[in-house]
Amino acid sequence: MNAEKLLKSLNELDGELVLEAQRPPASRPFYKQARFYAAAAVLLLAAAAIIVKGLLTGGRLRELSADEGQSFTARLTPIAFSSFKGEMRDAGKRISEQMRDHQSYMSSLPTVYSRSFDSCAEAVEYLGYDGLSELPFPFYVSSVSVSASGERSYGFLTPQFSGSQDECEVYGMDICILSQYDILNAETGFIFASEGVRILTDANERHAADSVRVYDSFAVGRDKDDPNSYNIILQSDDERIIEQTFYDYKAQCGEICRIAISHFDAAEPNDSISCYMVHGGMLFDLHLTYYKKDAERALDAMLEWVDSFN
Amino acid sequence: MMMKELPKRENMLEASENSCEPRIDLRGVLLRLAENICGKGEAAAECVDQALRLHERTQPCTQSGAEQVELLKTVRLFALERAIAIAAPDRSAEFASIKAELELELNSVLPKVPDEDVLIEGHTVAALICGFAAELDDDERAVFLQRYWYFEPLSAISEKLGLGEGKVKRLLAESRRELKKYMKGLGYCQ
Repeated sequence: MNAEKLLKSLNELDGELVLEAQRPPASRPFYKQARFYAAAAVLLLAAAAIIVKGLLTGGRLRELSADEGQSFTARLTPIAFSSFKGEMRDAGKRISEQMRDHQSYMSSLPTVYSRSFDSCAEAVEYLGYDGLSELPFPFYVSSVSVSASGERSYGFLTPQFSGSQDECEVYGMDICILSQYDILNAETGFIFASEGVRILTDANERHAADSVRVYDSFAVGRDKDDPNSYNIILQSDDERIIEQTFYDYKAQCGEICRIAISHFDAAEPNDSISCYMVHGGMLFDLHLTYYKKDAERALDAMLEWVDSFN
Repeated sequence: MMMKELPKRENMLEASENSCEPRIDLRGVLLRLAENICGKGEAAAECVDQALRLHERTQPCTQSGAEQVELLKTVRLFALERAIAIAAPDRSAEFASIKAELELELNSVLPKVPDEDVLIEGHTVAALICGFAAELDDDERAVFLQRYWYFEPLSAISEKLGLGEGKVKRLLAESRRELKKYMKGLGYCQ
């Protein structure tokens, strides 16, 4: 089979789906619209919120008010590109080549160059930055990727280091995790990252949950009053989120991290947690999506990750 | 007994046209689909006319969803066959782009997948691919089908669904990766 035959095969698609895709979003059936779920889910979520709150207030977590919860200020350490000694130094050259060879029909971004590795250690070696040890991750890592993005005028902008793993066993759950840390490049003073994350917590429901996606994102901007401090703003463009709660957590290493729990409407089987922590001048973040019934175990996994930093 | 004269087909169509509420520009939809695949020009219009003749409709106005689907599928098939048959430079840019992005992601699995009429565990490959599309979440499926069923440009999908173009790209990349994983799960991998 080739791509043409694959496209022809799609002609057998169910007629209802063909018509549904043709309709503008507003005319999709009401029962498929998020606001229906939001309305239907209020009572259930209220109950879930009480349970989760009970879980969180017993430890080193401090619930934040809505005003103070969405963003936090952290001191990131700008790292000069010259501090990277590994092969990653060639990323700018690779990006230039990609931009030269890019064709308009390609959906890939020529400004992004990625390499995948089998372990964190290999990825760290590729970066060649002394201040970076293996990603403190207590779970088995099946693959790690490093990506760099750049523009023609700069040649090279922001190195990002992403670790990801698929379907590993954590606390008896089947779970997918994406963790990432972003290194602020001194030349630009600005980083932005947005990641799609998907966590499955029950092997038996894996197939059904395969369609679940959570998009959390954050933006980092230099504080106008303090050039060494940065405002990290947590945000999400996922319209299915109907409530977010924020917490501070003091990790064993003494760092304060910010945790955001996103509650989805009852029609979605999952909720999600995102955690952001500055350690060694770098921003680390971890995202978990879990079945609502697994809230406690997901939080345990999150806190274990946070406490594994030395 | 006197047989009642059947109304002429044209009259039936007029009656049908008058009863179309809400009225949609189905011909416009069909033509756009054909043009997305085999480019603007006579070929696209011919695909539409050919499909309408096949379905015995001179005016593409109908209330029946099933008829709309049949027309859309027929136009899509005719247009695809033309686009595949004609020389690459004559295809629409969107068709070439879509073909390239699928091959880029799926080049390790597609050659291992048999033609669509082959049964796998009782299902044709086509049924399995369509099953994959049906299981995507709403946003992802909308984007996936706009791109790979209706062959819409990224900018048009972005505008139609009210999503940023970056998010459209991201959702498409996600679904292609999922499709690859799905096909690998069926045993097609290198």
